[in-house]
Amino acid sequence: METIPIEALIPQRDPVLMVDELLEASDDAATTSLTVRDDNFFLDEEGKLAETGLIEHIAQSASALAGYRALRSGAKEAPVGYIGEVKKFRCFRRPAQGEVLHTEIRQGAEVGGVAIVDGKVEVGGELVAQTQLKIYVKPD
Amino acid sequence: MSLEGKYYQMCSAHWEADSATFHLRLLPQCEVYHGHFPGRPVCPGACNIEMLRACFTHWMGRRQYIGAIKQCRMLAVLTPDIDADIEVRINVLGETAGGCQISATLSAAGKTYLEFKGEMLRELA
Repeated sequence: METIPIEALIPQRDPVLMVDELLEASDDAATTSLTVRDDNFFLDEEGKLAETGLIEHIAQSASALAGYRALRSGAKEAPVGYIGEVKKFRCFRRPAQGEVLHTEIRQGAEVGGVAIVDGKVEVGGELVAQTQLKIYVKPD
Repeated sequence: MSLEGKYYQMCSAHWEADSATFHLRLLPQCEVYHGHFPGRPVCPGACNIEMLRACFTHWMGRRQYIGAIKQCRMLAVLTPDIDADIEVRINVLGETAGGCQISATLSAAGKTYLEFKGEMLRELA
């Protein structure tokens, strides 16, 4: 897949830019990556990525898929999305500094600007977190 | 990651056996708004959940972890310069093997912005 700078796909910026790269994308699925660095905003007191950092990472991964679809449809910039609901979240462990997150996003139904998205985060093939989100995409 | 003193300041905390109420003030100058979003500051939903977790930790007196979220509804978008005075209410619903089930709300000026049900853990790898 052609590499698209992440800043073209999502509106978040440092210090809360929580996706490094969109690795793969299709109409309803995407894979992203993030390396946990020592300056990550969501790094906790124990030097690990907080549970809420995993939620934000999954949400921004979903946003990257939305941005990819929008740009492919001719939009000039990525849409702004907000988390509307978090469901079925499980955190099995917190990734440590230096670990690389690989995250799969699957988008289900989208009704009235609200998309249902399933996300799971793996580190080295180990599932560390999963959730289902409702993302509200702000109209242009 | 401690958001206290950076994203919010705690103004008061009161608790009884199974419930607690916290009053917080959002800090609009927090660096998070440089990136969420540039020129359009909006509180990240994940940071609002983190405030709930931090309040519960304050109550319990030791770090608490979010093991599971059954449902967390974000009912409205919170903005730091408009809705700065926050009330967080937490209820313990029951104990689990590793922690407890809680429900919580986050509101400002009588309006509920977030409703949370989930499991907090005492330990998480």
